[in-house]
Amino acid sequence: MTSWTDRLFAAIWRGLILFAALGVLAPFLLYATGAMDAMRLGFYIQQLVSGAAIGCVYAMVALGIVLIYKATETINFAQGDLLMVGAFLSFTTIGIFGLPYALGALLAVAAAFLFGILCERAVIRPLVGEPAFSIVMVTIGLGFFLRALVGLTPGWGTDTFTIPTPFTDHTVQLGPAIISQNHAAIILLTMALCGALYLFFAKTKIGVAMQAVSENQLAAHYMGIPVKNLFTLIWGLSAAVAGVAGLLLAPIAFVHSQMGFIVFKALPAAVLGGFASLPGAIVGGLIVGIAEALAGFYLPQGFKDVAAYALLLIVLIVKPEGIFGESGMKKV
Amino acid sequence: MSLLEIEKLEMRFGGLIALKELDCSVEEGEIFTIIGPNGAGKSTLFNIISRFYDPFGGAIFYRGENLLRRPSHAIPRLGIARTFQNIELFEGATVLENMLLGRHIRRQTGFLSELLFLPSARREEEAHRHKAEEIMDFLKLEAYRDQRIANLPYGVRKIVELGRALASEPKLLLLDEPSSGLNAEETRDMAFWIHDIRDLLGATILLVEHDMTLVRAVSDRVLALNQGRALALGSPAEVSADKAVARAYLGEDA
Amino acid sequence: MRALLKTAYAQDIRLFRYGGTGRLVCGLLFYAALLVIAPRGFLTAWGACLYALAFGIILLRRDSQDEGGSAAFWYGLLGVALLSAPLLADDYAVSQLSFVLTYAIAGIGLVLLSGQAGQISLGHAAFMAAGAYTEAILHNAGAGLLVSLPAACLVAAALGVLVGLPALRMRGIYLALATYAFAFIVEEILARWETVTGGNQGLTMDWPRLVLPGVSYGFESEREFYYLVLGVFAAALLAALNLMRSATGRAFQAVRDSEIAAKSMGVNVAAVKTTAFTISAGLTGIAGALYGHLLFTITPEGFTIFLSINLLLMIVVGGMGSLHGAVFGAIFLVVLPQLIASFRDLLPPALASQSGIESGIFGLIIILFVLFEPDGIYGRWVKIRAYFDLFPLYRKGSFRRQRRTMASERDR
Repeated sequence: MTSWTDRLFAAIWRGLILFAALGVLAPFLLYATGAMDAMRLGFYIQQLVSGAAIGCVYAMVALGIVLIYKATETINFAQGDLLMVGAFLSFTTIGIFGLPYALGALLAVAAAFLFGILCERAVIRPLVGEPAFSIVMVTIGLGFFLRALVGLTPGWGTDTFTIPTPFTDHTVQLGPAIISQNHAAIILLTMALCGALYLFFAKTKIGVAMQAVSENQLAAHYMGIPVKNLFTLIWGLSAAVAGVAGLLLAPIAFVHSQMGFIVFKALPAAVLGGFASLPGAIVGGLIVGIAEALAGFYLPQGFKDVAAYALLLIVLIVKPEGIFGESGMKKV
Repeated sequence: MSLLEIEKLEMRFGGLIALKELDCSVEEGEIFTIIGPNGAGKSTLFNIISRFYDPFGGAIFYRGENLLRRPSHAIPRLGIARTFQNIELFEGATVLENMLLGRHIRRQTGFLSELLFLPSARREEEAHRHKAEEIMDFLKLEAYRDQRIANLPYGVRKIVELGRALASEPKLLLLDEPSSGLNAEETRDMAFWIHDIRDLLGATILLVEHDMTLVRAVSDRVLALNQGRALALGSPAEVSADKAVARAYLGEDA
Repeated sequence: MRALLKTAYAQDIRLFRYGGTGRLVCGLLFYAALLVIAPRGFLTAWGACLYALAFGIILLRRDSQDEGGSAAFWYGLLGVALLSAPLLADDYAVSQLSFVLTYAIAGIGLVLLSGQAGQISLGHAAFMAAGAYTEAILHNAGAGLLVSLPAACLVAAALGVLVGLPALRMRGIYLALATYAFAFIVEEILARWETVTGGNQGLTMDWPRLVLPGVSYGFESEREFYYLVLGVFAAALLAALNLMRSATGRAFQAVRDSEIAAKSMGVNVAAVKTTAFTISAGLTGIAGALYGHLLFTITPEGFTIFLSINLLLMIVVGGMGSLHGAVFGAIFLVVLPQLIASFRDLLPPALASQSGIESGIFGLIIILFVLFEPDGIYGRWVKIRAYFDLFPLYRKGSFRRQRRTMASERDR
């Protein structure tokens, strides 16, 4: 039995999807009918691709948040700052030590993994089983602390840096649009990472165990899975994903101690995807990135900055379980 | 007209049938017990009456009014109170505060007079407290009055939950396995209280219970459920003697 | 048996369990009246001390037998101290005290929302901004305090309803995320809607005016404004205490502890959450209005997510189990930056010149409090008091960690 409000919201939801699809496709249709010239279309495609690229970064941060949320039911507000630390690690290996890009990246991601483990052990482990609010506050505190720590680290500090990459300053021609290789690389590498994560969760023993823990901690515990150790690993994994995200964000944003605020865009992405779904987080990130691009293309200045939050509010009100989420009810 | 009438009630969880065309009625003033093996749909029925679940089909009438048209928080206002199988108390609050929350639907004063704590609000608070004390006396909970639920043993919590339900002065009381987790002595107390609640407070009682001693001691009528279907209905003796019921509990061969 | 174990119903409901509220309020009002009537310069520090002494002797004489009277006595003394503060302290200290009380008003709102109703808000800066901007706009349009302050409260409360409305359809952490999305949007509106809000330049406002039919009184200094803040704080505190001892406060608690049980007791969970957001937002709006006057200039920069997080930090550090926590937290929030500033001189210059060090210490403090003092400063205070009360009997286990407010929302 569904109430009329549910039906109303469902109808609004379908309308919104239609509207969004129209928004994405409109310039192509206009071009086809001759109402828009090729240059304008090219600009639009560039916006779209750069939106998708930044969306990929949101997606990876959101992915880390969802990983931790699924396992421990808390939101990690320090996820953006893990990204920031990851970016600085890449800057250290590639920019300061001058290692080749691939090797430096690999080392940095490995270091980020260890750093995530360290964070979990230091501040999260003592709070396992505590109310979510406590852990949320601790992650907020951790974020503040990491920002200051990076600011105080010799060689890092509060200045902005860039990381030289093999993609910088190269472009690709895509129809009427000129795409930066940086953007293309982000999108491709994100897809590769998603594939790797999929294989990890589907095929490896640890990945399956992690899924089991996310589904039901108690049952997993009874099956002999060391739940707490897996939490630590999940934090490490999540920090490593953030490290990759930081590495990819570095060429299009700059490396600085405030770059962690990207978490405030990644959270809407995670909610859009249903908050408990890994593919959802990816799609959510892309949607947020593209929505920002569209807002920047169609609407006056300023709307681009709030697009993510407006989208979040709309989805929370109209479809609170997210695009892929399903609502659950406690058994009594 | 019966107090509670259930007509062709159907409930499914995915492919699992929890209730299948269930019909039954509870008369005013009786103690009506539902028994059945695990998964028979007993608690599901309670959760539908409380409006936590939406059934697939059928209807529930309480004094002739369709309950399914109301949201869950409106149910207690009709005079229906309940307890839970696994105890759902307000852990951070004291026993007294839990009782007072049972009085929630009886509040009269508006928000503004609460904010200023006008004499009317004070008088109402005192009246609620008076009622809460009565119930704590009735259930011998006075000793725990100002203790937080989190610090209480299981048996006491069970009784606090009963008290909280009583505090709303219900006409129909749903008790979900009141004896689970209680020892033999506490179960005997529970049987007395169930009788007293009916006889002294005038409430009709709908009971889900496993402990057959308690069922025999208190029930006027018993309904046996299995896999969402009614197996037998009658006095406790009739239902215990029923062959289908014995089969459901002990397996096909019995 | 009953007579032994319990107090009278009426006694339970009192603010101080053993009475003395009436005398306390009368005494403080009398002292306040004295301050108003007495010519400037007449009531010096010595006068205040003399009064406090008399006040104390009267209360102590009446109530030396029981502890409740002594609670009223200590609060009375605190009240006298607060009332006399402008006579004893310098301008700077008085304005800092005003900041403490202003934060505490917002803190009361947050304790009601988070500690009492169990909802997290990451967007309280938006309510504070709504209050401050409403106050500034109305004040600059010439409205008196009796119009602008309630208006600030109402505008913020209306935003609270708006934020609380999604509660009809969502739970737990999602609601917290809605609050922060909302706060970002409000911040952006403040920065962009230049004709009304002055954009990034913000708005300026001077001390408020009290306009009554026939009379008009303009506040002129930090000291005079302090009394306004003190009065509003006292009213907010009293209203919150009243709320917590009546049905609405208990409904908050019920929603915090178990939504399922709350529903089964006839509590309309969504309505209660919306109410909690509304009340909390309204109080925060009032705090915002006063905050605006204290700051003189308000800009969108002053009301970012960091203010929201600072407000949260305040109740986490103060302790959100009680309204005391709001006050302790507010003191902490005002004192900490000054402590850090004074510590800065002790650090090596390379470290001290870093701008991020302050927020780093904030972060560290949040972590340390959640890890080691989850009930906040107030919790520690209760423990210390219990230690002395129970002296030879106190054991470490007397306060073992209990399940605290925010329960898991996944299964609800």
